[in-house]
Amino acid sequence: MMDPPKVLLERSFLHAVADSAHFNHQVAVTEYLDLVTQYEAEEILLVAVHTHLGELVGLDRKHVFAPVDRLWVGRQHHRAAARSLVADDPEFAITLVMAERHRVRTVASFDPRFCDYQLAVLPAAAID
Amino acid sequence: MSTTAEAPTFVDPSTRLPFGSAARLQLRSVVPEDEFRAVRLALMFEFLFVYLWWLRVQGLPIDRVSVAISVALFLLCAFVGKTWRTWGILLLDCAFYCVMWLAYERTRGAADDGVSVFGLLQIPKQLQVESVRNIDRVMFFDHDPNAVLQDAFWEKTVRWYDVVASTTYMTHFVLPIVVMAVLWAISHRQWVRFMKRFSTLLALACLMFVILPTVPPWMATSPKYGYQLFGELHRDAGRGFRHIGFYGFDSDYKIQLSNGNAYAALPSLHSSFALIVPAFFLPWIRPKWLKALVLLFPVMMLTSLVYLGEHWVIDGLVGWAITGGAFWFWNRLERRTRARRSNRAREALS
Repeated sequence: MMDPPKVLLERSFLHAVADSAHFNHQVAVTEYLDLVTQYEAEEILLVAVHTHLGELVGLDRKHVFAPVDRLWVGRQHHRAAARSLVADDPEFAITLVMAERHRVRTVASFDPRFCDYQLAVLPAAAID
Repeated sequence: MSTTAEAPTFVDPSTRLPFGSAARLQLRSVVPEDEFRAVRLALMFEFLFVYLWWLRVQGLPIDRVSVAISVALFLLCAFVGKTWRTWGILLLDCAFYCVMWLAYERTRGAADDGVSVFGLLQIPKQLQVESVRNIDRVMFFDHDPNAVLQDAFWEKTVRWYDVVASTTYMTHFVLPIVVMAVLWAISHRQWVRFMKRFSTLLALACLMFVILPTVPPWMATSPKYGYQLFGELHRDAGRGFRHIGFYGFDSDYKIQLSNGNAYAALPSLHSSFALIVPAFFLPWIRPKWLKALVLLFPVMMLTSLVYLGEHWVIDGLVGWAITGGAFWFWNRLERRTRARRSNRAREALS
């Protein structure tokens, strides 16, 4: 409500940014740098599920994902994910739970399943 | 940077439905809702109802312990069903909040006895009495604004402007606390932003209370204290508030715990708090006329304080200056932090 809109960097997007050998690396980096510029202007907040970010970087803020805040997953979120309609994929389910709980409206992802939901999915070029 | 072999790769953007398409699912249709959300809302409304009832029947909680209890009860309502981690952060926040207020209370002793800095340097008790009055007189062409306002407006019977002045004065005890509690409940990020500015302001104010303990105008004119700089001022800040049927509620704990610092005149926390709240919310207020209207509140507060004999004009101006300084400092630091983090990301990818 009072915060700038949150953009959730989903696991596939984080990996694409972090891995220079990734198929979508260039697209992801271009999009991420654009998001970072918006973050710097305080137009958006960048967030990621803490377990997804933890696969790539430590807790400090001295890395490529320095602008990204962590959405900490608790047991209640895991329980909600297990009860969701997409419980067969726990990582996908937990991302949806965190997006719902934190009122995320935009997701940066290369996973086409996010397009099935009322979410704006980045990178925009890939959607077109 | 290279990631694990299981790094996900995904495909075929052409299968994506346009945003806003009716075929798209709402997250709530797939993910179970937070079952405690409704409970929290219901409890917060119930709290509001009880608070208003208390305000009408018992009075406005103004002593520190009663205020702390009311905030704690609100937070219990607002945080029911949140994660343990969120509760842990809330406890840390509360500890910080308590330390902040205790530091303020401690300035009372310093104002009374002077301060010893590690036993090396002794700052003696040096009450400011005439200096602040003289500054006011310079600003107002050899007039005492407190005396001028009381001579012109103070009457035996309570007038409408007494109600306005008194009510404005009393908002000091509730407005910043309500803002903190609401921010705590709706956005921890905004709570942190508010508290950075608020605690900076309070820390600087406490430092000034210790270094420059200042006698307020009501005391400086009272024969009881022996100053009598000019004709005695009337002092009854709550009379307009009582006139409309409200009271200040303070319980007996104040005897043990709430030693209000009578020499904490410079800077005026009433003026500072009256500015920090509208100044914090200004970016969210769109119409310019409304921005101007909310900024009238600190002006109204300072006028009330001077009329009620609680503060010198310079106290309020210094309070505003410190508030402005706290905003300037933190706005700049937060901008630099965002820039530093952004540059780290850019450098890592270059």
